[in-house]
Amino acid sequence: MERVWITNGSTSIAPVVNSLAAACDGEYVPTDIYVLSNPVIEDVTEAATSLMKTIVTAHGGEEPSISVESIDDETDFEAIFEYVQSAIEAGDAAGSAVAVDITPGRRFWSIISFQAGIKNGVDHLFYSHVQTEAYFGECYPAIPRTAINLIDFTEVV
Amino acid sequence: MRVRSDHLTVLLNRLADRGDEQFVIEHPSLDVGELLRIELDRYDSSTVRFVTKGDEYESSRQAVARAHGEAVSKELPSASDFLKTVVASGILDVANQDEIKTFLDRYGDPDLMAGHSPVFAGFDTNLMSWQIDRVLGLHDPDSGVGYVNGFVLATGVRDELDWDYKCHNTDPYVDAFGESYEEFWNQTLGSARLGRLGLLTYRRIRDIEQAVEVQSDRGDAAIIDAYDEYDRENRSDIVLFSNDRNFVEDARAHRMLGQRVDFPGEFPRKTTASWREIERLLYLLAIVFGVIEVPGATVYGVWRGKDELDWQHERVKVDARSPKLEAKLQSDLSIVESYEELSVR
Repeated sequence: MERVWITNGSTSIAPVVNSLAAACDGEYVPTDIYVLSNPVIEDVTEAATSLMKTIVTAHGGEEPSISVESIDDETDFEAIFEYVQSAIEAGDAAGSAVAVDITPGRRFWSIISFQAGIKNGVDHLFYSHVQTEAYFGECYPAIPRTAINLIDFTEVV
Repeated sequence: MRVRSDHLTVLLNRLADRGDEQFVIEHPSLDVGELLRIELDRYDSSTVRFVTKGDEYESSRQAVARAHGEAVSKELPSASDFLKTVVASGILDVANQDEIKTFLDRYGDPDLMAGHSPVFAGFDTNLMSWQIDRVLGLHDPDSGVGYVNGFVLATGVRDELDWDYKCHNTDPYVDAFGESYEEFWNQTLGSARLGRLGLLTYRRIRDIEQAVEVQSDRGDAAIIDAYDEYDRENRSDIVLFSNDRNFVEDARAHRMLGQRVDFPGEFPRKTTASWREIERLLYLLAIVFGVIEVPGATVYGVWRGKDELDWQHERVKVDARSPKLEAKLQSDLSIVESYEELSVR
């Protein structure tokens, strides 16, 4: 079965990729990845998408297809909503499982993603919670398991 | 696979995933066996249990000497070096921690703006293997804070650490401790590895913390003279640390500030440690013992072909004994290493 991963960029790589690495460890290995970006964080997004391929293939998946959509104005709420909505629809149309990751980036991006995910009944709404600043900026395999928790909000809300 | 000491979290995580949150660190030899026991829990408070008493360990070492000869038994660290290794990992304090703190509160952290002289720390050779600058928290190069403004290193200390004898015949070690010792060919043996640890500390302080290096011959007298000369010629105060009473007395006789660093005589029954400290402990035990075992994996401190860069980057070799664990570790390391490359771009 195809598995979709919908996320967005951030000013650093770790929060963009850590939930994905945790999900892959939990055997949700995506086939299609959608990333929302903007011109300011373009370089980080590029590095993050490169690492996403490493993560998925390291977990035995085929190299995923990755679509990056960039919006010029980061507060263009309509464009943010459109992006999440159309990514979910693309997943649904293909009969894929759909996961939305609300961990990285701007808080209002997360809120919009969360709402779109709930409304559309996605399979997973992930958030990776790191317990301590001591491990900020580290990537998932290098963070003690007991210090990071991948929360699936479809199970708790 | 080669793993940097600060990436050993990957191994701990995979042990935890396998249900081995509680595991034993062992020496491959049946004579020695269990060294200590780890119970992985919170990142900042896991438990380390010391199951082997110093005298029990020392008698195992003597049994090895009787069965395989004195030279072979010297491959195993003394009980006291085993203990110092745990102190170096940050898990146990030095024995006179309070006394040292009082000393540093009194003489360290000078008020340079008020015209006080900067304070530099210097060391005796016997502390270098135990990364004492970090253990005592003398200086943090990243944040630029700590008790001292910098370091002075006498080259005599460096020369005293250079005892690089190597293993050219692995047979006696394989007979005594098992097959893993085949990896020791052309690698440093026993106490020479402690010397290497000391040299790594020396170079790290010299190169990363930009210490002043002063020329001296070997021997306490020459080393103290060199520190003293620097002290007199520069408007600074030097605090000298040693494990040896005589060295400290000599330093004081030269009107320098000397402080003895004393190591504990015995392990406690248990203590708490952070994951970072446990990683450090794994790395240091692998170097000091040469090879250690955890469930599902053998961790080599030295191995056939270990090179200068492996030493410098604090790499160990991890051989997973199960293909499943091996694949998971490989996959995690590929992610961690790619992440670091991408992050420094």
